[in-house]
Parts: sequence; structure tokens; C-alpha cells
Amino acid sequence: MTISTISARRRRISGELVAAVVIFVVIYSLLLAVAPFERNLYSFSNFVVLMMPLAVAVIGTSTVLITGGFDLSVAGTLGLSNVLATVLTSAYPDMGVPITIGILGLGLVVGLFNGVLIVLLGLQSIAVTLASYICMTGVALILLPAPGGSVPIEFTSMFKLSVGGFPAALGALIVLCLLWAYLSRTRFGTTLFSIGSDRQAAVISGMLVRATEVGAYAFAGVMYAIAGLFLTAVTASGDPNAGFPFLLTSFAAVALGLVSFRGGKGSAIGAVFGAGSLIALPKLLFGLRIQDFWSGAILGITILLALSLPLLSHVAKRRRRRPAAAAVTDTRSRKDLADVE
Amino acid sequence: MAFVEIQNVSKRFGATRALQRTSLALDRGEIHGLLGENGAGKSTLMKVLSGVITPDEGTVVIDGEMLQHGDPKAAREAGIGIAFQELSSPPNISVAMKLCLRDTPKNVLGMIAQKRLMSHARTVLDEYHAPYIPVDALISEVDLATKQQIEIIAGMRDAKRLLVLDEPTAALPDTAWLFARMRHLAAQGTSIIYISHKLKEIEEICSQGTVIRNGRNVGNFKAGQESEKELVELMIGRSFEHTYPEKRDADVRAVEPIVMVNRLSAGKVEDVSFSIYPGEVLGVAALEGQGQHDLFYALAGITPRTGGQVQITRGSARRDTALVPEERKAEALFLQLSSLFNLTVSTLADLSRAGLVSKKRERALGTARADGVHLPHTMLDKPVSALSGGNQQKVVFGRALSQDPACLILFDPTRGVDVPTKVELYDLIRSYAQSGRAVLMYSTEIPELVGVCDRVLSMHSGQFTGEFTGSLVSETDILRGALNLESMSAQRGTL
Repeated sequence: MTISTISARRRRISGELVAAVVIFVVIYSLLLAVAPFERNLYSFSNFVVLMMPLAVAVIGTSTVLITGGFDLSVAGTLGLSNVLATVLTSAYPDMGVPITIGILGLGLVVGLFNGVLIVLLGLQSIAVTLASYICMTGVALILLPAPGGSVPIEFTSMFKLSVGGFPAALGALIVLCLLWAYLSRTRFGTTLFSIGSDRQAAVISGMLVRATEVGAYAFAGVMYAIAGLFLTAVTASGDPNAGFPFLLTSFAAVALGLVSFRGGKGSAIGAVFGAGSLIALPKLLFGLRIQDFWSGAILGITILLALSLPLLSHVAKRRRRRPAAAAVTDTRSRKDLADVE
Repeated sequence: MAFVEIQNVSKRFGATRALQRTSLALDRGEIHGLLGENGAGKSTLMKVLSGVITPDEGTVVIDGEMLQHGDPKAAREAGIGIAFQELSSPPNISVAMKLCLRDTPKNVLGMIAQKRLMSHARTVLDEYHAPYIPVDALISEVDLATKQQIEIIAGMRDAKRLLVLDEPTAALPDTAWLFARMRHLAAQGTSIIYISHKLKEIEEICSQGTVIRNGRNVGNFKAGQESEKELVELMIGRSFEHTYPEKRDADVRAVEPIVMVNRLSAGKVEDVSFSIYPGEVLGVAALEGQGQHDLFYALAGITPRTGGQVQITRGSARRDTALVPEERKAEALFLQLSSLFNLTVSTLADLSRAGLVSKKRERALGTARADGVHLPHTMLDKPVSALSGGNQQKVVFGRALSQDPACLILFDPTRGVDVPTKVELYDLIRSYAQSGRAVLMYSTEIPELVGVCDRVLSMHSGQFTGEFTGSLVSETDILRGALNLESMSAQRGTL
């Protein structure tokens, strides 16, 4: 009892988050080691701006995953946000700020819509969010039938500011991570994790289960909209299918961030580092002069390795226990020994 | 009108009538015992009171106010507190959080103020005379008895008018603490429904009580006026003596065992060894979550083994093991498909020729199997979901027996089954053992193990704590073993 009490007190940062950070640090350090041209502030700044759309999107994706749900609408909201930003800013170049706010509102509405259908009507989250993804891609195609459009420089630079060489985007990402850390320490956050670990128990305990679930989808929707805005800043153009690649990469990043797909465990901040790993990996392979078509296979293997990390620590723990147990065969003294441990 | 008035509450689940016009009345501050077997409708009644399910008919009136059904929040606001038997705390929140879900201290930003939460929880625990519970541990880290205590305290905190305790002592060995808290609460004017089938406890703490069977009230009693035997007979609806089949009397251990388990580890099970002999029904007694699930499912080949050997001498049997699992709806049955299909699906090879399933043979074989488990033929073409719990379990039994296993593995085989069917199942279990096979059985009901098994092993924390054979198979001893009482008293010296 005493041992577990102490560990509970110290457990402020989860093992999964530490692992996700370590994976990122290893990949990024290797990248710096093999690619001298990455070792400057300008390249770092570029890297951050490049990873922003994915990094912000996965904050939303992992929030929903933690409740035990699935959200495929990431691709739709992201794409629609990108197309809307392109079309609207070309038409009204000096309305950058209202357009930004409007697009955030759109993300919120889509997320609320998903959440209400899933929670109040009891529909399956994968099906609902898949439908809203397809629907939003359709709307995007109506607004902008082919990739293109030109986004005014005033708008893109709003998202690519740099302060003393450091990208303002990094600041935005940190703010979003802090926001998530804050939310996870509120009653909303506690409920979020409880639902993912045992929904029935959360209901019986009298937690606000349904409101929290709807909140998770709404929060995710806003994150996807922000991600779409950053994507617009990176590409400076619109593409009705821009969201499609994110359908898979957001889940890959979440896996690299060691957020549990079963719900109840993980950290969106871990997923942000997962996104970083995912962006850095192809660069590393390029630096190593490994041909491009290998990157898929290597990415897949990296994800599998990341997923098996908890298993490895489990095995290591058992290894540590085994020798002590094997040394004593008498059951009674073995039990005593276990108590001492 | 009484302080708490539960009137004519009914609830059906498919073909199962869980509650049939059940009524209960309590005065202010009364402690009322609710007696009934597994599946009698006690937990359904509780779920109605907690607002988790909506009844088909009936009303609940507390202190003159009608309770709005199907709304957990309304139930809480009406002052109803519940301590569930299936522990209802999310495993990944802290003890303090569970205790203070309704009055979580927050800082100006709306974040949970951890320090104040901890000290608030400590005050709560002091108030309930349980200061030894660690407030900052996670729910998943504390032992079962502590979890149950936390559940009870959380329930008591909600219970301004009515508290419902569901088998609180199933996992809590110390009744002194519980009864003191209950009396304290009752003295403040809260009425308490105490669900248990431990008659001694009901006698000790309750002023009067109600017996329910198959969802109906079958009797009321005042403390000390009815004999234990009369109450048990009310509960099970027949004389106690004729419930269980004769056990075998010969010493089974003269022959080679069918199942030999040597230092098996799997899941929560650590290094256990035992044997089961031909003709023997071996029972395992344990509180919830002590590794019995992993042990049974490992023998059935589902939970992966992490160490040790299992040796099964098949003899004339066709398979090593067949399992009657814990949750028949989730784990055993194809609910939308017919009973006929469910009875025959495990032995498709018997009824197919050149890979094609013969409908004629399926019916012939299925009918024979239905006869074997006393399932009426009219049930064969119904979807199995339309059958009552008892008939569903007969289908599960029929399928397991038809696989002709050397060792039949039964995990809580009479859960949610009506009493007449229970008796039929006991006979089936005994006659299967008598055909020279081995049976391994777990039950949440210790009296059932005492009645059915030749030998019982008690299990605690993944290890066996006692063995009871023949005349030594007694309820209290087994319970002591399942609670691991010898080491418990040392560990929980503060109690």
C-alpha cells in the first residue's frame, strides 16, 4: 500500500508521454547528426511550421481517442477549413481576422454536430465521423473544384510570424499544449479519462458523461480547423482533398505519441511529439540517402516498435522479478520475499 | 404514507421478467433487509432507484416527492445514495476524486485543486472513521475491501434520504465499521435498504425485511421472528434439502487424475498446482477479481499461460476442455440465431458431409441435445435472445456437454438463472462427473459450492489459500479462505 501511494503521488507525468518525447528526441537528434543543413534556427523554424497542421490536428484526435471514441472527421474539417480560408481570403484579402474566427466557429459547429449525433443518438463514432468527413469533402469540392487559388501573403504571414528567429507558431503550439494540460486537470479532463477507461462506471459515479463526450468532439473540431489554417499558411493555396493524407497520418502520429486507441490513457502532448517524429522521420531518411519509397515501410516499423514499448517494459519488469522467485522454491518463503519487494 | 414508498415496479428484459410489481415501504431511519437469490431482481431494483434504468411501470416516492425515472441526476438530487456491488469507480481516478465527485474543490481557473482535494477527502474519511485509506492512490491501486469501503462512503455521502447497499460485505470482511456507520446514518434520518443473503447480518442490523424471488415480493419478516431455514426456503422457493444432488462418496484420489496443473501462471494467477480426478466436481471459491477468471480461462486455452504446465488425460473424451463462460450473452451465445444453431455450432463436423451442413442432421442432433438438457422443443426455432436466462443457460450447457470434454469448466454457471433451472443444472453437473469426467466450477455463491462440489479450493490474490474436502466443505471456512483472513488480520491491523 505504501509503495503504491508514493508512486501515485509522484505520477504527474505519464510513462507514455516520456516515451513519446524520447522517440522524438532520438529521431530529431539523428536528423541533426546526419544532416548538417538542419542545424540552424531557420531550418528549425521551417520544421515547426511544417509540422503545425499535423501537430494541432492530433491534439483533437487524441482527445477523442481518450474518451474511447474515433474521429475521422479530421480530414474533412481540415480540408474544408483550408478551402474556405483560400476562397474567402482571395475574395476579401483584408478580412483575415474575421475569416479566421469564422473558420474556428465552423470547426466548433462540425464537432458539436458529430458529438450530438454520436452521444445523444447513440450512433457509432467511426460511422458518423466518416460520413461528416465525406460530406465536408463534398462541400469543399463545390467551393473549389480543383486545387489552386492564391492566398494573400498578409494572411499566410499571420501564421508564419517569427520573433527573433523563433517561429511564433511554436509559441502557438506551446499555448495549445498548455491549454490541453490545463483541461486535463479540470473536472472535464478527469471525466474524459474516466469515460475512456470505464464508461459505465463513469455514468454510475454521476459524472457528466454525455456533455463531456460532446465537448471532446467539439474541442477536436476546433483543433482541426486551426490545423487547416496552418496548412493554408504552409501551402498558400487551397485543395479540396488537402485533408485526405491527415486521415492516416493523424492516427499514425497518435500511435507514435503512445496514446491508447482503447481509450482512457495517453496525453495529447505525447501525440504532438508523435507528430514531430512523423515529420522528422522522412527528413532523416533523406539525410541518410535512403530512397523515398522505403519511407513507408520504415515508418510502419517505427510505429510498431513504438506500440510495443509498453510490452517491453512489462517484460523487463517480469525479468527483474523472476530471479528472486526462482531462487527460493518453498512457497511460504517465496511469498514473504514477494512481500518484502 | 411511508417515508420511502416503492410501488408496483415492473421491468422486463426481453423474455425475462426481472421485476414484477415489486413494492417496498420504509420508515424514516429504518434499516430494511432485502433478501433474494442471484437473479431475483435485487440489482434491477437498485438500478431503478439509481436512475440507470427506467422501469416499465411503477412509482418511487420519497418524502412525498415522486422520483423521476431514468435520470441518475434526479436520483441523486432526491437524496438517494447507492453503493454498487459491481464496483462502479473508474479505475484511473484517485480515491479522493471518487469521494468528492460532487464537491470537487477548484482553483480560480477551474482546475481541480489537488492539495485541497486531498485534504477535503481526508476530512471526509475522518468523518466516516476510515482515516487509514490513502486518498492519493488510484482506485486501481487499492485492494478490493478498500474499494468497497470507498464505494460505501461515496454512497453514504449522497444518501440524504435513502441509502442502498448491495451485498456490501461480499468484499468487506469487517462488519463492525459498516454497521456503526449505518446506524449513525440511520439516526440522522436516512432510510437504508440492505441487500444481502447473509441472514446473520440481516438479523443483526435490520429491523425488518422483504424477501423477493423471480422479481416478486414473496414475504416480509421482522427481525428475530422467522427462522433461518424458513427465510432460505422463502428465498429459493422450495425446501433446502432437495436442492443439491448426492455427492459421490468414494475417495476419488485412488486413480490417476484427468487434469494435472503444475505451477501454472497466467494473468493474475501465480504458480498454482492442483489436480482434478475422474468423477470429481472441484470447486473454486474466491471474491471478485482474485485470479479465478484467469485460471479458468487459461485452462480453457483463452488467457495465455505465462508459466507452468497443464496436462489433461483425454481418455475416451473428444476434447480436453469445454467452457461455460461467465457472460453467456457476450461470450457464449449467437443471440440473434436460433437455439438449434446455438446448440449444434460447436460440432459442425458431426452434421456436415463434404463440408455442407445437413439441415436434417442438425435438427436431429439439436433435438437430442435439447432433450439432454431438458430444453423444451418449442424453444429450438426461437432466436436464443427470446429465451429466459435459465433456458439460455441450458443451451450453453448443451453445447458444452456435446463437445464431450475430459474436463468441463464452469464459470459461475448459475448466474441469473431461476431456481428450478439451477437444480436441473446441478443434476447435469453431477451426472457428467459420474460418467467419469472431471468438472471444475467457480461460483459467486459459496453455499452452491458447498452443495455441489466434492472438494473446494479457496483462492486469494492469484493463489490457493485452502482446500476443503468431504465433511470439511463448510461455508464459513471457505469464506475465511477466500478472504485470506489469516494474513488479513495482520495486514489490516488498524481496523
